[in-house]
Amino acid sequence: MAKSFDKSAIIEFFLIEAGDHLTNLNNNLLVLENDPRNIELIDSLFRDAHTLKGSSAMMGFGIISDVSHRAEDILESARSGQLTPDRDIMNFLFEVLDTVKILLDDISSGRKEDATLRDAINRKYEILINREKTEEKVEADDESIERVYKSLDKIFVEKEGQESDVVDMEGAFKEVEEEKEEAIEDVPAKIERPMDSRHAGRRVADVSDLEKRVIRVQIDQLSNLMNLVGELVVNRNRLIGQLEHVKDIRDELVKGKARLLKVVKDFESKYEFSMSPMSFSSTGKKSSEAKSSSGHLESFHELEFDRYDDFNLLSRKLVEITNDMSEIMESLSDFFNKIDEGTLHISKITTNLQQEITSVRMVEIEKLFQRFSRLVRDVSQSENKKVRLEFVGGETKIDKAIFELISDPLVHIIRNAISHGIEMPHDRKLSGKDDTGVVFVRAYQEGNNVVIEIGDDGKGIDPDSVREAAVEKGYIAKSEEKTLTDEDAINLIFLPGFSTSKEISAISGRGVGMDVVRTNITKMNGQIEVHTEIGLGTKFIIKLPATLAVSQALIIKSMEQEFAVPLNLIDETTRISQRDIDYVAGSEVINLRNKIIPFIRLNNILNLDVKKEVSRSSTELYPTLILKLADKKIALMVDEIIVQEEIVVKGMGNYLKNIGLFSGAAISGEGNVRFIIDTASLIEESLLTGKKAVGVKTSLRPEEKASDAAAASTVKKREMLLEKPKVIIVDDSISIRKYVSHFLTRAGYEVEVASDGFEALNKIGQTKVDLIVTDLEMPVMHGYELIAELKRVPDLSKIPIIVLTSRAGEKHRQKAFEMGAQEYVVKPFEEDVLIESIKKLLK
Amino acid sequence: MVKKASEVQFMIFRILDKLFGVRLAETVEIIPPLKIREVPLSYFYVKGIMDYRGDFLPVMSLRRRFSLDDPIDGEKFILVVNAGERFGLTIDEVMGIAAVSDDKIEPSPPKIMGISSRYVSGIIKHDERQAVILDINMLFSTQSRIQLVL
Repeated sequence: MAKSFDKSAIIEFFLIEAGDHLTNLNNNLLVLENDPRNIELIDSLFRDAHTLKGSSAMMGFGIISDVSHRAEDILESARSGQLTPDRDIMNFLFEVLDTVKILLDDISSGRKEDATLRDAINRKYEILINREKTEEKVEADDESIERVYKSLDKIFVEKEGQESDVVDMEGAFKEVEEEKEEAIEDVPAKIERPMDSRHAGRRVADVSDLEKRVIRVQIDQLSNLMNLVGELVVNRNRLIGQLEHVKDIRDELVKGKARLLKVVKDFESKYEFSMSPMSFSSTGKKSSEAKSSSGHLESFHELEFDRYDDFNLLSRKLVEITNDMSEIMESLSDFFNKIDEGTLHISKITTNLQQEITSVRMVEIEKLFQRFSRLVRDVSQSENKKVRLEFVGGETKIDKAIFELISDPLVHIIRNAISHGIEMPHDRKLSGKDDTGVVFVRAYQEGNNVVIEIGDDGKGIDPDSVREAAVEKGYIAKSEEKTLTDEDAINLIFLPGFSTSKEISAISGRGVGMDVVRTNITKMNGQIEVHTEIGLGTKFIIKLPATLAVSQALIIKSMEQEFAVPLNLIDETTRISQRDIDYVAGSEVINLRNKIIPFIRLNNILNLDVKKEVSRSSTELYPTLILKLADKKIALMVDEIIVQEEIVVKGMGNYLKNIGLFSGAAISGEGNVRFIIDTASLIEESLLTGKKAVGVKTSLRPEEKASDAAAASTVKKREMLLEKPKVIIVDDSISIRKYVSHFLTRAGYEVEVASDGFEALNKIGQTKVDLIVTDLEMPVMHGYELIAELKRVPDLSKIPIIVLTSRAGEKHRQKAFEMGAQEYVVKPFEEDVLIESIKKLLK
Repeated sequence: MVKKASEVQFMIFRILDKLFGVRLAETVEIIPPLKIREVPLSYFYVKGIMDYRGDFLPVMSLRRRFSLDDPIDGEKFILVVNAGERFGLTIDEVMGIAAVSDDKIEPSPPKIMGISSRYVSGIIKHDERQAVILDINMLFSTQSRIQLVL
């Protein structure tokens, strides 16, 4: 049995387990540093080192085992009071941890353990031991353990692959051992020797209790689940979209039914009976039929019958069918409602499922904080500064994926805080501060975001020295130095390669920092801001989405294509008209509440065929997103803002990932691909070039790189040449609306539709319409009423009107013209006739 | 036909009047070109990307890639191939599968039908006609970066 198990799975467990031990050791060591005589703590440290040693030996990782053995020895001596953990000892123990970490990393990436590391630890261990006066005893003790351990190793190697029913050696390592129990029957007693049996017993019990309730799951598997939920969300959105459509159809159906019933009723009341003898005798065939059928009813007088001719019968039939149809429509409508309810239910469940799975992926940020304690200790020590780390909000939960991604940026900021922010103890005293500096990390939930604040009470960032460095390094011109606000100056630290540090230290100051930090954060759809005050300190505020898999985005349209813009960088949305646009040094800008910000047209960036662009008049307002990164803003003009939606973000694969504008893509409910606009890089690209032309071209079409003046005039020309006239079609019949709008769109018009006069009036009130095509008979508001209303409003009275009706009578034609219609087209009609009339009227 | 050990199978397809081939082992399936989304700022020969069972499939227009003829209405099918990742190639028509023994695969001249030999892994005969065997790994790994130029 033992030979056949999958070792790699066991190794994975081992790595997780060993990682936990390392974390415990690290945390406890940090506490021990301030409380060197805490025997309970030493006990716990000892147990972790011991367990680590035992399990790594069992896995055949001799070097880790040897190295942790050294730590165990030291801790053993400390526990027995032979040795007091002083600074050297602490440093040695930390070094052991680091070495084990390196070795574990090697194993996890499939490399062999590095034996030279063991030698280094052994050497240091010797030095440490020789330093101690009590070395004799310690070493004796050590040797005995060494022997036990060696015998274990030997047995382990020799008997690998044999079955055994050994009792638990390490409770914490139980999962592994269940499969991995090796033939070391006589060893456990010895190896457990240094361990307090009471503690060991309790420990085993603790873990197994926990194990009953807890299961470790690979993050990949969770991610898969999350993806599936993402798909579900997309499908739910699609379903809701379709349902809207179904509702529209249902509404049409209800309207259609009402019309049908009305017509049939009229019909019925007129033709139900043929009382007039004229009609009775007018159809010879029918009268003969009536005669033959009345053969056996001769005794009745003719007037005693309701007389039916074929027409009456058909009328009856029609009424019957209509009633049937009405019934069917009724039940269809009911059915739609039921689907609606069902969808609502599914929608709710999907949302819950999403929340549940998201919460499974959440980890407490506390675990991340723990990594920083060590960092702060090491950095402050090497910089000879006194620093205290303070945490608030460790219980805040964050997606595991973000947790891993945010770790490096935070490490960088904390290093910077200690190395650049916190002053030397002496300087701190001079400025009246406590000689121990404070670095604080605070986390809290804010809506769908997690906010992490990292601050120090150091010297702050001096905007002047940032300005100076920026000029020196050529990021800004000397002339700009003065005009730059302090806030803007501080934000220069996020530029690539920027550093104000005079000398380069091992820890920070290489200038490969804050831009990478910001890039990483914005990649996660997060944001980072900096606030600083000279002499008081600096604070970075990082806003992160609580989860990555599903994110909120604004769906926009540009060049008839849909795109998604992540919500995190959208500061606001507004509407801008051509008039609001100014030119500064040839590039377009707008004035947003007295702040000049670059104005970018997404259509220009996308560089799609210019001819396709929808034209704009100078007064028409078009949707514009104000994007904000740090406190840099740009305005991004789009054709249309469609909706805010949850999107499932997916990479586009290696082949297309280099296209700068997109950070990924999402699939819409209808199965269309939507690109996700990389707003962060868009802002950065436009800001890096500063006051230069804002207008993005690809290297594919260099010939299109026209001068800005030319581009501006092109815009003007485009407006004049390509403005599509807008026509509204008002008709209660959906097929007429569909048919007319189809061929008018094809003929180059922009088409609106309305199903009655009232709706038409609403729509005309909202948008500028160049021409109206209206039916006469409509529910709610009749065509004549619509014309009358339009003529009452001065602004609307000039809009040309074409009446499109089935009323061929001269009387109606007269009336329509009298009321102010310009054309009168009778259904059925030829496409050309209507188009000709429209053309004539729009001239 | 009995397949010999040294035989290689190719999927032969047509683009305009020319025949091309891809090793059968590298092909995945043939799908209709539905809902291909044009990728702005991309290479002009990238027809777009499409939703392929929940993943994105970049689709390359071979007509454009090899400057065969621009009107791309005739690109009726997409041949999904596996070159590390999945990719789509637009083709006009599938002509069949050819089994060719190793020694019948001829090396490509420096240029064949205007196509550089770096994208061609050999020339074979299919129904008495010449078919150019494409090296899809090369086809999808060589590309110049296109980035925003402000």
